[in-house]
Amino acid sequence: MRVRRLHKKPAELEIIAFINLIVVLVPFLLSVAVFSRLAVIDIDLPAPTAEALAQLQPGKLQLEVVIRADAFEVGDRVGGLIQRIERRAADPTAPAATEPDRPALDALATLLLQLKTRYPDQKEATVLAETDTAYDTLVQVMDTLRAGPLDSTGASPQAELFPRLSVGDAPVRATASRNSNKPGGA
Amino acid sequence: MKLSSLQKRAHRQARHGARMDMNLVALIDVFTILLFFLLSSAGTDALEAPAGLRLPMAQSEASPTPTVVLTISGTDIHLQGQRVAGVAEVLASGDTLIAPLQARLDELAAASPAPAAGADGRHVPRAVTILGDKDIPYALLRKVMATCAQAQYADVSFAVQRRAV
Repeated sequence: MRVRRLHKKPAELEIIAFINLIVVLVPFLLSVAVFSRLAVIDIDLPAPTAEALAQLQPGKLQLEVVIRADAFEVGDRVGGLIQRIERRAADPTAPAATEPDRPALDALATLLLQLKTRYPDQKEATVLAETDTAYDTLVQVMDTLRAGPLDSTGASPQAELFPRLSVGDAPVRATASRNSNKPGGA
Repeated sequence: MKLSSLQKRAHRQARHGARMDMNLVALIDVFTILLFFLLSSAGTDALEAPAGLRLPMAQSEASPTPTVVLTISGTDIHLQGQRVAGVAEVLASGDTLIAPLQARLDELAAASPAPAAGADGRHVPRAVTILGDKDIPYALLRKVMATCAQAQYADVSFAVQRRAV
């Protein structure tokens, strides 16, 4: 018996329209895609009335980090200076790094970790800045205060340190009067 | 009839019924995955940094919430995209507050209802997100924050660029 073979062409998918669609959509979405994700740091602006009450709690750390042009001064509002961390590198001729404050920030993070182990319930901290402190420096210090150092794997920080931050003016260096006026408290 | 080489080729192919198939499957796979990835990542951000503004980097992972947006670039202060003051004039003035900014914030506050009181019955301040250029001095930031606090926008957040780790 003679077998008739049907010469059948393989079925083809009509994918031209689909390809057209994605060829248009992919460049469009690529152009509007946001690759740098934003995040926020919350600030507690000191309320004018709450401040006087907070000052009168004994046995509690009132952590303050003063950002000077040449150093970070970590202190307690009542107890005074705890440690002063020099910001500038010992070698002034060293080429400007992308993050010149990184060693000081790391030292700050180490100190804050020690403070956190001593006062585990403490969540509040105040960052005091001088008038010409750059916003970048302020945010770096706040970020260090809030999150602590990156661990060795570069993953998220191991623990929260002092997430409730407020911002104020640095006291003038000569006088001992601290925290004379703050934004919002004025 | 004189045919060009391309036409000859087309004739030959039509006669033999042999179509040249492009192998598009891999391309379509890639495009489809890319399409879903981009669709899922698009439109999730409540906040977008304007071009030319260099935000500081931080490890913070708190996501921005839709609030009033205050942008401080090297030259101007914008509230919700509208210019309210210039940086130079604000720094030059001796006032602790920024009058035009306060006026605009008061307008915004009047236009929107006050946020509901918190669970403990305390007054909840209005929220504002500050997008500041990394080089602005603290003196400027202080005036802006003092103005925000004065205009009942006491819940201030600083926008930062998430550090790639």
